[in-house]
Amino acid sequence: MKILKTLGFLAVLGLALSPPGGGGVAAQEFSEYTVKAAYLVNFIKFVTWPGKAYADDNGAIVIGILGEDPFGDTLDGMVKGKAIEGRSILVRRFESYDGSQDAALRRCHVLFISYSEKDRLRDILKALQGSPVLTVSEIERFPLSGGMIQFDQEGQRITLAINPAAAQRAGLTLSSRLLQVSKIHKSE
Amino acid sequence: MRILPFSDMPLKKKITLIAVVSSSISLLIACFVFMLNESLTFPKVMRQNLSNLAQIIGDNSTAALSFNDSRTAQSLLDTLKANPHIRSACLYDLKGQPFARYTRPGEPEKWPPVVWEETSEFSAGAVRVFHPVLSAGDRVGTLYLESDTGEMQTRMVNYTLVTILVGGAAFLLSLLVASRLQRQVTGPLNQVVERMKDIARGEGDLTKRLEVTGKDEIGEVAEAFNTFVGKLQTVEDMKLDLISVVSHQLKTPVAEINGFIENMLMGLTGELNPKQRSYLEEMRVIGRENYRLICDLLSASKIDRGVVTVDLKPISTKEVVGLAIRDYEAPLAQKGLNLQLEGVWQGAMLYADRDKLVEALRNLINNALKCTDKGSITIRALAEGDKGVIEVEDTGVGMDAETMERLFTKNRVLGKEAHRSGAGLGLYITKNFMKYQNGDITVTSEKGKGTCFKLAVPLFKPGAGGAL
Amino acid sequence: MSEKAAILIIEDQRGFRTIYGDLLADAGYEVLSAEDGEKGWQMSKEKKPDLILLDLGLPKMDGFEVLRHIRGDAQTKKIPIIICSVVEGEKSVQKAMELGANDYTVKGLHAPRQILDKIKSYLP
Repeated sequence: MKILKTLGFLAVLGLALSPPGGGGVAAQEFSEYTVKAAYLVNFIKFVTWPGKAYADDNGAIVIGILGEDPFGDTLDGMVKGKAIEGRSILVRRFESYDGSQDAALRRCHVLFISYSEKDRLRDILKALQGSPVLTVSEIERFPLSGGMIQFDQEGQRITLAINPAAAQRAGLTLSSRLLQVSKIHKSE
Repeated sequence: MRILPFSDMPLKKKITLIAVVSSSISLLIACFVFMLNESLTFPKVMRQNLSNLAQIIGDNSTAALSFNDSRTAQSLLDTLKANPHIRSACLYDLKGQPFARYTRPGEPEKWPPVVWEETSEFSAGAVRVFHPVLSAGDRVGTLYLESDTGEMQTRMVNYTLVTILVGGAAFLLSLLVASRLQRQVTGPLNQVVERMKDIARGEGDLTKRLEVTGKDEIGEVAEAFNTFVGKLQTVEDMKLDLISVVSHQLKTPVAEINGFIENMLMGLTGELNPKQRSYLEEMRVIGRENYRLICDLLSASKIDRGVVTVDLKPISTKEVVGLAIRDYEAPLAQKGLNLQLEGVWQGAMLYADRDKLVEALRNLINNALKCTDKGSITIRALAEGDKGVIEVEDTGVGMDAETMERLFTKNRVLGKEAHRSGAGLGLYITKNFMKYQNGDITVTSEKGKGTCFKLAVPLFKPGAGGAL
Repeated sequence: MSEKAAILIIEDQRGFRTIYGDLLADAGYEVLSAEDGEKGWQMSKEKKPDLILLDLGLPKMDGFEVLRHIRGDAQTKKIPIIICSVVEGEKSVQKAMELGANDYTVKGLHAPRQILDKIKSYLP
């Protein structure tokens, strides 16, 4: 348990690709998706869901993965035994979107929409409209399409692009600190 | 300016000094204790403040640390520029590596290696804090803040300045107040001192009393002084009364003895052998001196008691001198001395007390007679302004300056000069009696050459109701 | 009636009585004396002396009173009176003269024999 926790902590380590003053780890020590998995968990710390979002699942926070799962065990390892503000974290995986998972999807707090669902993005987002689900994806122009957080890349660094308006419409409150470290986008 | 030892300082300065020193010491102690307390507690305050700042900045940097945004982290640290006391700051990642760094412009760029525990220390002119940055309970990094102790130094300097200012003001104020209030004490005391000095010198008016200004010890001194002076006054009065009474009582028996001696010398008790005659002659001389002395005592006592009466009338110089030189022709001839009279027979009119003026003149003639063994005695009458003057000049032994100084006082030096000076009170009495007649007596003398006494009284101006 | 003139001495001090008594007797006068004012007044009336030597400080009746009485009585008012007192001073002399004394001498100041000269001028 402890080892996993430690792994999780270390995963948050910036890849320190370009720290000011130089010096730092140059190469990617951990895989891209370890970092992204850590980020997914971290998002939870900077987002506030409305009270009704916790009605099910004993108040646990649900991270959903829709489509192809790039994370594998990494994510499960990170959330096992972890609690954020007293809430445990569950991971739910969904197969490719076919329109039947809407209710379950809506019960997720964070939903990672895999790149594989690129063509179905509009339907997915439409289905999630009005539900307090934090949508995260690597799909291009995700915020423009109405998504909330997009994983992007700047050189070696993973950056975030956020559409705060979308989050707001869904009833989510994003911490200003989160916004600070991200690029802000508006939807089209 | 010499600094006097404390015991020699005038009371005024003592009191002021005590007040000022006391208040200054109290103030200094208070300031010292205050500053000591400050210097002991302020470091803790500074550490606390820095920790609080670290908390705030740490909280703000959770996202930057969580999402590996070193730029945001950097810009966050850069805001520390606004606080001139922050020397350097460093955000460490979970590996302990510097994630973002800040140094104050002009500072050397060095940051310490990471310390994992929450620490704060105050030492060597710097306050340092290591603060774990947590995000929802998870550690995401460490923040290091270092500030200088300038704030504390500024505070101390300020306190010192204020202390000096307030101290200075307090010093001046206490000086002012003390020097005003000390008068309450020294004023009455000085009065007593001055009065005592006067009385010791013999110039004090024993009938005047001191004002008692309060019920404190000074007031007690004043009251005791008054009582004391009252007693002195009483003693003085008693002394004078005694002198007066005794002198009166002595007059009669002395006169009687003198009378008996005269009769015996006249032969009324039978023929006298040479020895008897010489004895009686000696007794006669002494007896006459006795009588003179008693009369002088009575006159002096009248002067001291202030009960002298004068009977001022117009009288001619001629008459005065005539009465004065009576009976002196024989003694003068006996000593082989010449008597010269100058200007006496002119008709100058004086306004004086006949008996007293004649007596004064006789006294002077007597003195001149005693002090002169050869030559002459000159009595000269003249006018000086509105005063009529009678001079008695001799060619006798003269006097030195020391003797002349005390001539008209009661404290004449009698000793080997005694037999020549006569009963020491004569000139004291003359001086006072002349004053009562609006006149005066003065003297010039040169040792070995002679003496000249000068009596002056107002000239009589008829029609003006008396003297000028 | 002897050919000697009689002088009455009114004087309370024994010493002075002796001095003046001896002096006057030696000069050839008859001497009478009284030691207080009252006696002095009585004797003046009785003996009608040729001259009176009067002291001022007398018991029973003081000198000025005696003077008044003597001058007030027709029988005695012409008797020459010489005041003979220890008191000097214009005031005393004035008062005595006003009350009718003929002369004034101060005891102790002048030799007693000088009184003789004065007496001679009143008793030729």
